[in-house]
Amino acid sequence: MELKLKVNGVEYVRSVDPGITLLDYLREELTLTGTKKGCDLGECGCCTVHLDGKPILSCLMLAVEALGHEVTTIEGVASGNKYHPLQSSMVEEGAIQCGFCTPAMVMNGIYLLSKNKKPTSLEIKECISGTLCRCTGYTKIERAIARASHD
Amino acid sequence: MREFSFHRPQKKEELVGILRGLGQQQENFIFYAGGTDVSPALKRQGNPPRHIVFLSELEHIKEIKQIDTGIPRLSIGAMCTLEEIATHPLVMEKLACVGLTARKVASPQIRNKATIGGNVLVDNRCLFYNQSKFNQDVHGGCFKASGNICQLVPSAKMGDETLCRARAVSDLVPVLMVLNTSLHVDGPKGARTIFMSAFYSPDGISRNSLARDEFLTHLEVPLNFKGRISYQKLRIREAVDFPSVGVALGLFDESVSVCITGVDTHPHFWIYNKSDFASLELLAEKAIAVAFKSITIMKQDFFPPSYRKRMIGVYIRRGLGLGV
Amino acid sequence: MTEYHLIGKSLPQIHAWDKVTGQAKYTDDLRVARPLIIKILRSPHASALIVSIKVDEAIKMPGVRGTLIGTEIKNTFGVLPISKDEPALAQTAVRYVGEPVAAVAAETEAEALLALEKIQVEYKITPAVLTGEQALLNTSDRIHPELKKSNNLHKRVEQTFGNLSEGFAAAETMVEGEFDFPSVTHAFTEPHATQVELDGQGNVTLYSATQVPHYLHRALHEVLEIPMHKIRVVKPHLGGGFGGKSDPFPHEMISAKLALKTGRNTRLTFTREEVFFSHHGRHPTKIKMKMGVAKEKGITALEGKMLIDGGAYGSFGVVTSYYNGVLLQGPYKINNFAFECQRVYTNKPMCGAMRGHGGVNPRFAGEVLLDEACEKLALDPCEFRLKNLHQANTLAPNQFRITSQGLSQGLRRAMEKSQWQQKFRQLPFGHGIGVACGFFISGSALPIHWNEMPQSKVRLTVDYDGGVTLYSGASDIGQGSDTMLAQIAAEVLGLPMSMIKVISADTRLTPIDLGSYSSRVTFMAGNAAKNAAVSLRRILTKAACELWKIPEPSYVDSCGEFDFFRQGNRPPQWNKNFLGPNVDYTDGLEFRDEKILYQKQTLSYLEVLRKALDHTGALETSGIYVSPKLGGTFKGAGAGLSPAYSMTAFITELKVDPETGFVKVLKVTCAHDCGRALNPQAVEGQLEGSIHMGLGQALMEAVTHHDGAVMNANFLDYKIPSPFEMPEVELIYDDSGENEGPFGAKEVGEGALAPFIPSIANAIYDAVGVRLKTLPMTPDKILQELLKK
Repeated sequence: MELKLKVNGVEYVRSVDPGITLLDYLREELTLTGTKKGCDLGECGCCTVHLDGKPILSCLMLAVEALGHEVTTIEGVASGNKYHPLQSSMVEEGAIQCGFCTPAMVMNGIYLLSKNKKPTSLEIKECISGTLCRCTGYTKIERAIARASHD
Repeated sequence: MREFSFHRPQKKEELVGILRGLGQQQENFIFYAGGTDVSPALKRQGNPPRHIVFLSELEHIKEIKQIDTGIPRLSIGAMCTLEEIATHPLVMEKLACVGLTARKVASPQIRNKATIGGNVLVDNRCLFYNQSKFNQDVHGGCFKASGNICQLVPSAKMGDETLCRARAVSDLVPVLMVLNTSLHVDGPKGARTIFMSAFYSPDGISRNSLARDEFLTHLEVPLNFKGRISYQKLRIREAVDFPSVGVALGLFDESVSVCITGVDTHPHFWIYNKSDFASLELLAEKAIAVAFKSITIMKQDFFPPSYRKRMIGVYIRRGLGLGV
Repeated sequence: MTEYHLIGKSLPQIHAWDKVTGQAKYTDDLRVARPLIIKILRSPHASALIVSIKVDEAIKMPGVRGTLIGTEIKNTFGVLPISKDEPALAQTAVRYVGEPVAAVAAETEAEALLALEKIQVEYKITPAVLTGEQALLNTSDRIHPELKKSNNLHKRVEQTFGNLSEGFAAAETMVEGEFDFPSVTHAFTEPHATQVELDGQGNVTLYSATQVPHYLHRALHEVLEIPMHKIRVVKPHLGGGFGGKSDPFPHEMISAKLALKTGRNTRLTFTREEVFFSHHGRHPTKIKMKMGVAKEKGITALEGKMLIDGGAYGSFGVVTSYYNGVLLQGPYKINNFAFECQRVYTNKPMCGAMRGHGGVNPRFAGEVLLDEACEKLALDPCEFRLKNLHQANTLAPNQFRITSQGLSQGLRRAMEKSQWQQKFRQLPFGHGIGVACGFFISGSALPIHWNEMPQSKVRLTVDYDGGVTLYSGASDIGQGSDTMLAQIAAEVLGLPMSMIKVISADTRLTPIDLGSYSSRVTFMAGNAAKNAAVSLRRILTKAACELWKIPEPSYVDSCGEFDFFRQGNRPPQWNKNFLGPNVDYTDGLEFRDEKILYQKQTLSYLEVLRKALDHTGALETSGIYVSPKLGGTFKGAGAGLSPAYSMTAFITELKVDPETGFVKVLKVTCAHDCGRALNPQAVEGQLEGSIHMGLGQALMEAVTHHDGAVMNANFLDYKIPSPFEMPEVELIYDDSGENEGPFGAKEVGEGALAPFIPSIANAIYDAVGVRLKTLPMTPDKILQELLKK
């Protein structure tokens, strides 16, 4: 089937299997490989993208569901070399080790920061609680989100 | 290539028409709300249903409003996401426990898409069923996976009232049950109302009395109660995990309602009249004894059955404000 | 203390911006041209003979371009030369549920999966051996009959020092226990992935998520039987290893073979379930340990008997067997010491190296028994440890050469920061504090393949544009080794990080580094990078002196000018190419901020560089690292030998809910001796990650099996902690005056994990008087013990 989706503000048309997940559409059809496939079952959170601005798991979503909606991926967060403060704070705080969960952490974090200017430590933990990280113990990621909320 | 046909009805009549058609053609289909429960299951199946009926575009199924005619109640559209429910001002004001419980489900990303309708209808889970097809087959499959054995109870056979031991895992169901929630469904045979307390059945496959071609439109939660509702969830991590035990308690003026999930094929629900007991302590004792006697706990979860059983007692006592 | 301009500063990873924008390419993100997708058919049986495999129906399926079965790829392989027992595809028998049996390469994933279903395998099921004890007793069902052993023993190692019975006789108290540990697994978020690219000359490039490009390179050569120079192994960005990607794998052999067979590029990525089936995680372990302790004499004797369940193949298992015992020779002095470790084969996914390797489970046993002994003797467990640590520059009874030792100061500081004196045994019921210490290697002094090659080599080149290209075989697996190498080179050359361009882990371009395992990279590749940078600096110094018309400084290429404990009469034997550790390269000139300064004169780096290019063109230098010859001459003396050891102290404070048994770890004070912290932020990242992984193993992680099949092969049922479980963390990593690590650095990747776990156990005991001898210490187990009281 022909599927036209709007991703990062751009409309794409691709010919795909109807059952394709949004994750596979992004990674395979659009080569937007910043969104990662860690488990394909909605249990690790690494596939997080925004649907109409809200973080969801793209591996649990059929690409057709995004018809008429806006998808934003990690590639769509910065515009040119204007980065989101959370991207800078993640880099500076050492919150990135292997980096595989990083795009998802950014997608979760920027959503929280967009609706909550002063998140508490628990709110920060909650916002990233759906994405697993095996490298950092979450500590510096939480610190980066807190720091970006001050910037 | 998986051949799917997608249906995206906007009006109820349209949906009913689609369902009639599919019924006549004897076509296999699934309802697709938020998709977070259905999606992993679809990926696992060798022969997924061909037709997917999306509910996301149905009108009048996403509203939360207070109805004041008759018994005041909150009407919650079945397609409201868990996130919407957790943050809706009406819910936070009138049914805080429902909002707080919604926030305990899964993860923020899942809550942004998962619906309350999907949650009250969430599939039952079992160690042997929730595996890839490969891993299901390694053990010889099971009834729920279209096989012919129950791995937990090998003596189970077709015709048994409880064929499958997959357990109920919704966090919201016990809370809603304690609140006397009614479910409003519709379909080709017309609309009907079902009390949640009469909805679930003791089999891990059939699970409830919803007909194949019925869909949930909204829930109605009466607001005319005086009391405190609480929900306690046993899980090893404070995020992501399903309940290993879930106990909702309603402490009302005259009665105590108890609903327990996560441990059996269906939620168990009791109402105890305070006047039947000399003290809250005795009520707790009775509630615990009844629960222990009625609930069958299988070895299909992170925690051993004996511990989950014990925690039912701990949670009931804690919920009633008693020490352990 | 020299003031460095970059060393000792927190620096972001050089790849951080690529990662935070989604640009960093991991193996599955690569797009080789027109790849065939490979899917693997796996054994549904734990133990069976393969009677026949028929692929003719599969070959006919649409989109299929090739199939592969075991008889086409017969040579077995393994990371250790002494246990190359794993086939790429099962040949005559399958040995675990999930073992690869056949593979299909097709144009699309869907077509490959459909074709898999058409492969017909006839199995004859044989009895499975599923536990360590069964493996030892079972003489009729041998998983590796080719080893010609009477049972399923893979390896037995033992060592004895001193006199055990005298040691126990001298004890004022004896403590003993039987400990039981399940398997835990790495659980990195990036699944294994491999892509293969062919060129017109029959050269094969394999992009793979591997920690060990060199070992993979060797294994591919042996399995494919094509010359090594026709194979190129490249590691793209990698999403976590922890030892789970540190072996050559069947899927890598299969990918290369199918590419060659079909003449097409290939692509293969594991499902999450396949990652769990692959495993290579921590061995399930049973330990019987006995310890004698006396107030003044310390630990008078220690005896350990370990049984480790290796699963179906060897992997790193022989090393694991040794590490189960040898690492107990630190951080305390134990003169009378014996251990025996047996590794057995069972019909389950194989176990291998996982962060901390074989040292983790015995550390738990030892630290818990020590806690028990201190209680019986009414001794403070921290004070007792302080009194009995190896001092700096000593030899352990097993000839481990301990050089810098920062644990004494670290533990003291941790005691102070955690308010240990005020809290130990004084907190109310349900609230407790506990201590444990650990000890780990900064890489193995003896490489796996015994040869005279250096353990790491780094090359630097620089040409007219001034950017210094650093080539290293070291694998950045997320720990930041590329950044560490750049930092060292930039420090020596006085350049900003942005001018060091790191090219790593590409066997065609980069000189060999043995790989990212056993915490060797900072110490070994870092030293090699430093030596290469010093060589380059000297060329620039010469050019600067020519411009200033002054004589060149005279260099002392020495290896004797540092604090080094001589082992008996044997001086260290240095390879003559090796400049020596921490050679004093400050030759009177100062290199900083892209300038070269001498007395009152300044030249710009580019000016000097371009002078240096006269007559030679592009500059090239290299540096190597070779461990000094260390260790005794007894059997297994090489196991655990390291040029430097890290040490860690953990003081953990937690609460236990006595009604539910739930543990809430409140605060962790961790003092880790990594010599000098080159990059504090990176050191902290490793410690915090170790705390997370240790917390998981302590409280919730375990691989579960049913009839040999992994039952929790997913991230919902295999539980790694969420942010809510993480405690408040206080980290101490003061300089301990290490001389041989680059700028004084020692390891920080693995050592901290092991002692954290028993510190939790000891804190639980302080809180509620329950001592568990099994992991994970889940609420049900704690409650069960509490109810017994």
